[in-house]
Amino acid sequence: MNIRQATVNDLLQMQTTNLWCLPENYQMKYYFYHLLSWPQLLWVAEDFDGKIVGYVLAKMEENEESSSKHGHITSLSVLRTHRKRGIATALMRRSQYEMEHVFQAEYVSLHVRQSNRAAFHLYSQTLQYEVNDIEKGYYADGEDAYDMRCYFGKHRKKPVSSVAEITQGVEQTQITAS
Amino acid sequence: MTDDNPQAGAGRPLPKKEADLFKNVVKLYEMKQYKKAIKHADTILRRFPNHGETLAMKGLTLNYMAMKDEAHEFVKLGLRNDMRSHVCWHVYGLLYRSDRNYNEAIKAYKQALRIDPENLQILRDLSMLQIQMRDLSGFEVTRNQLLTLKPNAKINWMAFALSRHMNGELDGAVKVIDTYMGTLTEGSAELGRCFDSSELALYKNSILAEMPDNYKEALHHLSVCEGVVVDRGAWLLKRAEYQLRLREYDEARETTIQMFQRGMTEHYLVHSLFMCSVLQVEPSVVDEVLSLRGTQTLATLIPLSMEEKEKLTVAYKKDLEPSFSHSDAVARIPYSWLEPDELIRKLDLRCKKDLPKGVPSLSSELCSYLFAEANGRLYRVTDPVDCKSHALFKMISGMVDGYILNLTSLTRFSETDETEQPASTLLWTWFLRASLHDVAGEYTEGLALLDKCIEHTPSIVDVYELKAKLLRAAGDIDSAVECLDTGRNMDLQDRYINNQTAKYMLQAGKEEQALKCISLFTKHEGNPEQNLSEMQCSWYELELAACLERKKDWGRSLKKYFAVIKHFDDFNEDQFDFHSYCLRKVTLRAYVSVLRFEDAVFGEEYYCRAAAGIIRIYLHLADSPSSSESDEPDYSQMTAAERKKAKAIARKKKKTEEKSSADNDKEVTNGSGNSKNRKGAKSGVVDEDPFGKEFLQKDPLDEARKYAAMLTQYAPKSIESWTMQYDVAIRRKKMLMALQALFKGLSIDKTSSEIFTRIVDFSSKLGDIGDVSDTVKRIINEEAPKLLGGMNIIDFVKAAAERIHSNKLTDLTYRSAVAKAMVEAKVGSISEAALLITDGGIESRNATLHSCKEALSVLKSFGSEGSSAVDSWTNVVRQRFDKATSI
Repeated sequence: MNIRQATVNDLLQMQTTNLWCLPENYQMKYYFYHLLSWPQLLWVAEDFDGKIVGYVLAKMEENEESSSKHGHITSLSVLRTHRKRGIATALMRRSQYEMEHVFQAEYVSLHVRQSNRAAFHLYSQTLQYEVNDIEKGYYADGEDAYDMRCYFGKHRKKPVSSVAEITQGVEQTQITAS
Repeated sequence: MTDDNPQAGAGRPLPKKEADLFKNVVKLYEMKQYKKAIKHADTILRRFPNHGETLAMKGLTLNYMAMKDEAHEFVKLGLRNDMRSHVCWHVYGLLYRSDRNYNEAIKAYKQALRIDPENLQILRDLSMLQIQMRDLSGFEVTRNQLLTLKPNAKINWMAFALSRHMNGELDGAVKVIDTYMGTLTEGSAELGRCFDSSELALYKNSILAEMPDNYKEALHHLSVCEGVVVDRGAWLLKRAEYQLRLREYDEARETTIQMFQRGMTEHYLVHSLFMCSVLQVEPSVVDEVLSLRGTQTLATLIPLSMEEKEKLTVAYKKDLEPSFSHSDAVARIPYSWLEPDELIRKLDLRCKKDLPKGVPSLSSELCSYLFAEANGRLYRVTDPVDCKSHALFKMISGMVDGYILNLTSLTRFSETDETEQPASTLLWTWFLRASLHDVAGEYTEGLALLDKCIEHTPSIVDVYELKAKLLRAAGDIDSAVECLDTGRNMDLQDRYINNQTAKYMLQAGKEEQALKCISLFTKHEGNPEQNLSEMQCSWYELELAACLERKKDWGRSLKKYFAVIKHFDDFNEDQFDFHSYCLRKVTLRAYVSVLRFEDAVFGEEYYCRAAAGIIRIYLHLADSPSSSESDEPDYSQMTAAERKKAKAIARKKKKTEEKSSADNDKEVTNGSGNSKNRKGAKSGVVDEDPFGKEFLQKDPLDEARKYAAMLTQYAPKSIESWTMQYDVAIRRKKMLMALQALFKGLSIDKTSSEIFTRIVDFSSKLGDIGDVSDTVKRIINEEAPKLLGGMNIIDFVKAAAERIHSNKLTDLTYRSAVAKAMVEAKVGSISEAALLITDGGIESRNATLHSCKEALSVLKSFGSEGSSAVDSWTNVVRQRFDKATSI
């Protein structure tokens, strides 16, 4: 899989991939908004011919005065046909790396459905996120969300985030998250 | 009276009390307190009923209270009462802007500026419209004025630089940025390392690189700005690119290694750049490499010599493998230049690693190494007949067959293999073999294996998905739907399999079932179709439109195709809010990329598919005008069973139309509220035209012309744009346009059957080109023979038939087109024409069920003389597509 930063030419395919994989969808303008605000945080996975088979859409939370500067995963998905190849992990690691190094984020946060065990496993085990909170009725259908966080570099309790870890094509799980 | 209060306009200032009220009106409007704003405006108007600016503001406010007509009336009335007020003109412009009528808005703003030339707000608003409308020279003038008026605002510098860049004044743009940087005082945060300065520096660098032969300066600039750049990834990528273009190969190699160290090991472009540096390729090759997509690299683009392969092998072994042993790309990229017997050993290891895990995409990974060479470039082999005969493909298939044998008898991959495999490994090996059968077009064999998988473990969704794919390809779409639906029930939480099921349902003509299915994931958002449309779910709308088109439900089909067109108008509109946003954010590289994307947005695949559908339907309506009314299919051509089915569909269609137009009437009379199925729908608007009747009332040929023009303008590299353009032009008797379309089509693909058919058609129409000028006649007489390569039509068709005889793999659609042309142009006998299809057609390229059926209808059109060919062709097609229900 080719893992690279997304360009504007990927956005329509990212939207299509999102509509194929997840129940939380966004209008094109929201994709434009991400690309035009934090171009370094959008990543895609392409198969041989350049078809997008997975993406991560992420942003910085910059305007919350009270909390420290941090990134947030807006949406992540990989087509069912391309699972078990470590694509979600690779996408997440790239976006997180840029959050830390381009935007000096202290940590990254995300929401995940309580029922989505595969995704929860990816975040908590492979990517070492921790549950920060539970948000009641976060999703449109009423399901609760885990609010999860992963601290970077010196903000982290355990020693971490070396390049070797980022380059790892990791064994793992099925993903769908948002 | 004196003219000392311009706010009152026309030289009549309002008294203090009313002047204050007017200020309130503006404030309340800005705070979106529209009702209060109207109240205050009315108070003024009671004493001064002709006060222009108040009337205009009242109109503008009404506009946001959804009273469009009144809004326009008041704004115009206001303007008429005070033509010399810039406020009135500004309001007029804002009103047009909100109608998306940008050209009129620009005119109004310009009037306002004539009265108040230095009004910053109006200048800003004007400039945003100018960039939106791509009035680039106007944009530059306006941004220049703004910068002159307010040089202390950074955004004005950014905007002026950008305006010059967009106008191609690259030097000028760089100068503006440099001058701005010169105004900053030492120690200013903007001179330090931060996101804004990083973005600005890299933006400037991108302009430097756009200048012809300026890579040296661009490269130098990169080292100058290195200290402020936080986007190190982009910085390195550009650096490697420039170094390669400047033939600084050692430096480039060093840069690519830095990128790998930064974690960009899975980015295939970086690998290509690395290879370019190792092989020291020419800059023109670097250009080609930069436009590669997906996992393609230099090594899958160009056939390499033994010596080059050796160099790359050493480089990967020495520079990359030790440091990046975890990288999948570093491991697999060297496979692409291995000899088949070495490669198969690597793929063997890959399979043994992935099969126990159950990686569904393993076959596509294996098939990504199937290459052939043509014109000094490699290309990937994809057609079933080419794959089947590919040496590597045969080796892979043989290897997988061996696994199956051994796993079945020994539960191990091979006799020498020590590890015992769980039963699931055999299942995934069957699955892999079935996928390979799919690639080779061997549906029966693939399906047999998938049935074994299901028998073994009935709960694996991927198996149902692949089985459905094979069933569909083999011609049994109804069973494919059933199969997917079973798979879907194994994992109701998975939207992917849900969508796949809905998609197949649409392809099977079951649109109501499809909507029910897809709604399982949208129902909580209100009306499902409305939700899908709000979320711009084009794939669904396109599939639905195609489904309705097949059912000859023209109105509803057009409605869906136009829904997709509307999304693209919205995508184009989306840029508006970002014009000022990006200038503030300084994300100028991304912004420029978006501007360029928007300039080409109507060339995107979804748009083209929608436009093509619209053109097809309108051409059909133009050819048979009565068909827009209750269009019943032509029963005479059908078998008894088909007729029965078609009539049932027509009956059902009529019934639902009646029923839902009755429902619709009810909704309208009920007025707003209480309708349950609209609950939750955002706008709550009743669809007043569920059957798309408005689209059937348009002039079909003119609509077709509009969209063909869009296709040729925005997708000139797609052959379909030109076949569509031809189809429209020939009906409009625009012979020159038709001729040009054929030449354009030929320049894209000389072997296209679609173009061939149209060349023959065009030649047959040359005798009667209608009433055209002598010049046109002369041009056509001069140019048309070139289409036929200087031959007459008989020799032209003969030559095409020869090509088929000399290449057995010639595309089946081309065979059918030539066979048809032979009969029409009376070239040879009917049996000779039929042979083009029956002799090897089933083993030729692109022999899908669809093209086989088309070939069948060509044979049928030959009449009694072709009947034996019809029989023999039907037989071979039935053998190949033994699940096909409709042959």
